[in-house]
Amino acid sequence: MLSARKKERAKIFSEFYEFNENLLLNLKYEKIKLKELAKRFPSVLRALDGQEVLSGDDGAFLRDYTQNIGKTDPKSQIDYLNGRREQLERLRNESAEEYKRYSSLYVKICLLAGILVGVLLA
Amino acid sequence: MEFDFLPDEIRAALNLVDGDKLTEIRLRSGQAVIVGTTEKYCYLGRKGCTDDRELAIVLDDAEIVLSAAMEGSVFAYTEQLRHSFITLDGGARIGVAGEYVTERGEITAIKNVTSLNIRIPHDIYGCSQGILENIRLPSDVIIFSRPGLGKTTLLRDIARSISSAGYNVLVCDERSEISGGGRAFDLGCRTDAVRGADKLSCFGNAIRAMRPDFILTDELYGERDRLAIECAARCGINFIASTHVCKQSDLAAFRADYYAELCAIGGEAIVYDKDFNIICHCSTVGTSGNIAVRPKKGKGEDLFGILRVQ
Repeated sequence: MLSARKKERAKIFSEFYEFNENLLLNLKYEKIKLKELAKRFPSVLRALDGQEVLSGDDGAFLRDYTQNIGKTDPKSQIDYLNGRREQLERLRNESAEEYKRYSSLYVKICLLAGILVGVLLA
Repeated sequence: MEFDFLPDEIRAALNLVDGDKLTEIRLRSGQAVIVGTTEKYCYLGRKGCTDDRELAIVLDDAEIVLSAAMEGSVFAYTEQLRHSFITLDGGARIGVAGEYVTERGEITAIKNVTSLNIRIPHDIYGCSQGILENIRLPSDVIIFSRPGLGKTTLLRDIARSISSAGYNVLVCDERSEISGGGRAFDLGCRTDAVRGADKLSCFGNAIRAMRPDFILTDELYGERDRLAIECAARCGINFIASTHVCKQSDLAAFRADYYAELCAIGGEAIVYDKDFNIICHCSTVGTSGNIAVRPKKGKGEDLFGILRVQ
């Protein structure tokens, strides 16, 4: 439960990264509409509907991203998405790392707390 | 027809207009919304059609409506926008007016959109019967009339009819209007549709790929389209096409066995032979559906009104 936020953040950035990759492919080939493409990425779909999926700087970055996709022709979109690809990849990796680190830390803390309670009771 | 992309107020008002008679919705930024019905043009008020401009709903921004119609996916419509329109699923076509963005003389986009013209498609079974009874198939046919009189509606019914007569039909649907962008209209069980390609590419590729007996297409215009139908003729494939070109001298550039002049769906059509001798006057009344008829300009006696048939 303590790491739920970190998990959610990692999941959202992972979805946005995958969506970005899919959109790049889509623009070069099928050109299907954004919402149809976003069906497999619930957090992207929510963001496209104007909902805030993350807060703070993360939220501002994703808001800026969703406000700029779909607004221009394929060539400029590809340039824009390629520009965001690196940032999304960094955020995805960083959030996944953070989740991994904190979740194992929380597990260790819980384990130690359990042992401490056990010792005290004994 | 769904109008999810329109502002709530306009959508609610449109529910009060008879959908079968609705042919156009004209939206201009900061101006009263106007709807075209089979009878007349009127303002769109909160209670439906009105002649009182004071009661009309005023559109705030046409650009927002266009963006909603494209579902925030401009890239999916870039090619169509270069030709000043987009076609929605279901076949409704939105004409767009605004400021053209050009690069080396070519239109690349439209910005500052100020006007939209939403054209509502119709589907009328049997309306081509009169014409088809008076021509000998297989042959090349060109249907001509000014815009908005039902050429595309007629083509849909022709596709159905010749398909059910056993011919393989290929619809070259450059603007996705004939087929309605997918499965919106029944075009017959032997009909294939190629959407989104210009006629010359479509004719060249599809003749080899699909081996049609007939190619149907709409809005022939200009040299490339003439080359496309010549390509079909050289390959021994017959075509049935529509055009806005109405002058006989210009029409002759598109060589065909028959020419059919459409006065209005539900009204009259005049069938000519290849030398423009009149073969017959025939009806384009359908056997089912609601017949959209637009009054002919300039001639009082040509006001057909509405014909509803079962």
